[in-house]
Amino acid sequence: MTAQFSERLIYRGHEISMCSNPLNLWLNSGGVEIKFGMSSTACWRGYVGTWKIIDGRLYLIGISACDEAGKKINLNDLFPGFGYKVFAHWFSGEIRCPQGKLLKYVHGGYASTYERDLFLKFTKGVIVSERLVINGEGSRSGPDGYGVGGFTTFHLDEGPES
Amino acid sequence: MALLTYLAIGACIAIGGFIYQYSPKSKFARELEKILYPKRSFKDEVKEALVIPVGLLGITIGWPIFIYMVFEGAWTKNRNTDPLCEEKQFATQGMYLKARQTVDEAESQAFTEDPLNAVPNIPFGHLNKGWIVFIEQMSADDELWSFLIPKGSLIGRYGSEAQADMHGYSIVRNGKTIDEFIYEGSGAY
Repeated sequence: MTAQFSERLIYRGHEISMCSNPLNLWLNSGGVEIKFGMSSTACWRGYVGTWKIIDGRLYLIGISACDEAGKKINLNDLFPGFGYKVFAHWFSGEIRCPQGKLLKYVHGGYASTYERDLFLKFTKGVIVSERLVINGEGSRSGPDGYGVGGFTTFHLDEGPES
Repeated sequence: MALLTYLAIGACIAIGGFIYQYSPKSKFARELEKILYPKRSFKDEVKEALVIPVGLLGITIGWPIFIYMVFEGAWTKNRNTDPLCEEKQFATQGMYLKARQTVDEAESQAFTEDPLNAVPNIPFGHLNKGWIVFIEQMSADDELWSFLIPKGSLIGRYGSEAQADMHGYSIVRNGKTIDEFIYEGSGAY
């Protein structure tokens, strides 16, 4: 499987990549009728979500996706009436945010290794702990970060700031 | 001659299958890749370009295995048409049940408050639609059980490891799980 696009996370004012998919549980909970239509081997899940931690709580604030007919899907299509912010109350577990230089590239999933992994642990969408794991030191000339650089120009379903 | 015939059959199957399954990369996907990876290395480009040819070559050489897998998959799918036969696909596998509850009891415990009002004030919040679909399957004699699958447990048909505690409900009919609803977890296993 091709290496996958990460999710985006805005945390403490920084935009970082997130190699976890908190939307999975919601998508598999039943009653979700929209089918994503993005045919790219680098994004099997068919969407890229933008998340933000506000006052220790995890919110989905935007999504870039299209349906099977190629029509763009926004947050309001998925969560009617909540087009700007969705509290991820269903999410308990850890998310991984790789940072720093690339140590080892793996052409599959989120398996590549970076200098540091920031792990954020949540219970019912509320952050309970964080830890930083140092994996090693990469070469100075190596690629930095999980391809986040291009994210800044990426379409966002912008909503009013909290 | 026999080898050539064998490979020709394989090539026809591989190319036919590719044409049948082919779906061009959408404009949206191409734009996304361009934005996310503007400086893709030549090595990655080559790797990506080789995926399909290598796959086709593999099928050309090992097409009997490919044919077997296609038919075996279709047969397995058709065999499991009875919903009760699907039990082994559930995360709980009939284990981890905690307590029998009524629908009202389950719903009364399932409201979430959010200071930014980013959750609907209905049972299971953003998962409410899934919950409704779930309980609509219940008949009068069915039982509703809460469950908790601890982190690290091997779950589902293939025994994947739960990456976090998973909370949910099972509908039990005549001692067998007929469906389950997971309302809390990481969604990864």
